[in-house]
Amino acid sequence: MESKQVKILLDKFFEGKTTLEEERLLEIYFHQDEIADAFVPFQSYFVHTRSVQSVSIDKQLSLPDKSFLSVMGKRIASIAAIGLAVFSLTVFDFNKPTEEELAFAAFKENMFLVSNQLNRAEQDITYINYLYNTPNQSKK
Amino acid sequence: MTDADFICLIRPIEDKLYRLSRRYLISNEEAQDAVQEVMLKMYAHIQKVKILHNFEGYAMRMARNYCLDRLKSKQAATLRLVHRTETSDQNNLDRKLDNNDSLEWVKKLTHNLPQQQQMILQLRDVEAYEFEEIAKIMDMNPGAVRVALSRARKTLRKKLIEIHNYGIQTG
Repeated sequence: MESKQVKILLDKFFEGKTTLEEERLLEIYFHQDEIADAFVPFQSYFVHTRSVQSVSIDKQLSLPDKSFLSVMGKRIASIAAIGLAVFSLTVFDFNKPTEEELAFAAFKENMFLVSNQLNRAEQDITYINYLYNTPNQSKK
Repeated sequence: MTDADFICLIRPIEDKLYRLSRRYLISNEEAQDAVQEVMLKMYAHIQKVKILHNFEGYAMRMARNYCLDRLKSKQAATLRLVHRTETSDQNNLDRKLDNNDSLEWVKKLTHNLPQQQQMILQLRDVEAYEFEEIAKIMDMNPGAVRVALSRARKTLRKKLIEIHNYGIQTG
């Protein structure tokens, strides 16, 4: 590439008006051993850019499915634990009698006692009646 | 999408994600973690949407957002400033320039630019993205990207000429 053409491209480059293809031409030009003196200050930029392009990740990344599943597994376990806790609390709450139920149970117990007392009283009256009638029969 | 399909999509852009993350986070380890996180997020995302028209652009944008979040977080305060020499496969020309500290100068000058300009330089000059793609990744409009790129390159031009002239005068 001629120096005149390089100058035009460089001016466009610094204005941010070059296409990717033109920038590629500049990159190729600046990777030559011999370049015009006027452009020497900019050579290091293009060489630096290419060296950065060669940087690559040197860590083996874990496969997404494995890590993802382990994350999902933990999430599912957490949700299950929360669900179980909520269910247990709900069940315990249902087993625990309410105030109305306690009052009804107490009332039922009282009524049972009253009923027993009444039954016993009725038996006593029957027995008294029997005793009352028995002497009259013997008098006869 | 199967796991194999996903790996076919993510493998070619791993290094781009890494370089972008490293530009933001400086630390190699942090950048590696960032790529891992982005990979997992992309995997989860693609399971939901099934089809992603611009996978690479979306991943780059996700990496940018992740890095910005990391920088904002408290953990960023303890980031280790680990730099690794990135010229393992230099050719003769690189070595010649390295001897003159030119590459180090370019690296320093680039690091001194505003963060946004650094990122745009990275995406254009290193990753060779079109302005529209950079605009999407950076959440800017293409015109603003062009202006920022021009400013960054002009700043570098000015500094490189100064350094070069200083070298000539002192040499």
